Amino acid sequence: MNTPDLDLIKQQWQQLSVKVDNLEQANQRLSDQLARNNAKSYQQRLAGRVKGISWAGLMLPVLAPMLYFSLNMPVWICFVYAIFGVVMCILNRRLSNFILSKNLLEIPATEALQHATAVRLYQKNVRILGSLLAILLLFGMYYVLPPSEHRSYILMGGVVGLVLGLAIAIPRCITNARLARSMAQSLSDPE
Amino acid sequence: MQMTAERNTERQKQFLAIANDYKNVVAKVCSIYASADVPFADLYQEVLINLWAGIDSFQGKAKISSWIYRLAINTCISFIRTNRRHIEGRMGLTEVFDIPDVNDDSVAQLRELYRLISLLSPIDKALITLWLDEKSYDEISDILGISKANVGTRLHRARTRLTELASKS
Repeated sequence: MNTPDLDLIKQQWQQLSVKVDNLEQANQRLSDQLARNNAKSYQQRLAGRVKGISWAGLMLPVLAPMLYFSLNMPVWICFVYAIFGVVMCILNRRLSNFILSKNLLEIPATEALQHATAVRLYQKNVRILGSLLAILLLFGMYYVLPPSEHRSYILMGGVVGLVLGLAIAIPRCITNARLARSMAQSLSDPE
Repeated sequence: MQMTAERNTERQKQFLAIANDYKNVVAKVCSIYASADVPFADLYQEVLINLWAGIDSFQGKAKISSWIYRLAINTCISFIRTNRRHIEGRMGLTEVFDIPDVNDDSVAQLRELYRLISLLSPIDKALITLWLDEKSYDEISDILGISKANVGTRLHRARTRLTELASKS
């Protein structure tokens, strides 16, 4: 781009004006909604969603006795099952608090970007840890199942699911890691 | 705490005044960050939601235009998911802005500039947008959270990157 053109472009950029009608109507509509306390920001919605998931984790200790009474699983499996639910609840609650820990109105853009990246990473790590613990728990539950003709099919189903899951997850993890690195590079101080 | 009806009305008036006065700024920032995956309307709404939330805390502490830029940029940056590809802005300028739809070199260059800016990293997008709107280095430094010396260096790099992207296309 030649410098003289850039000056003209800069001028035109500054003169860009919005198609007024649509946006002013949208502003009015949204202000009515906000005044009724009906709208939450993306940050609040995400934190709320994660908090909701954390409550689901607390269902596992409630369901754990069923493993003993209905499925005749050993007591130790029931405890591990319950503890897994509590651990996931705590992890998700911490994630929810972390999401809301920064006020976007008070921090500069670089910090906002760092926080957004950190949130994504935190989410990913909770998912990975939760998946690993869940797999271990499932293997444990499978191990203590009474012998039956269906046991091999359960194992095959689990292995197929694991392979398919890894085939989807690994490329996505690589892509996410690459993006996180490029984000980090864009934040780095060239001085 | 339940707001009184009067307080709510007052707040709504303030909100609408700011939202309408600075709709150009918010629209420009949102249009830079919008894509097929992240629609302009979603970004615009998110910015206004955060504006509503922040009206009480602002109250003249800083220059309002800087505050609006920071709000809009931070909202857009946070909203965009890091696992989304940086694709070209699929939303055309004419969808949001009144732009002369003429076959003019300068208008074509403006569209091309907008397309190229969409390809930059989130911080560089903000940097170039603020520079185009002739914000001072002090303001850019405050909004982005980088040192004043760094603003010049990064701006030079961003413009170089734009030139490289332009030569590839």
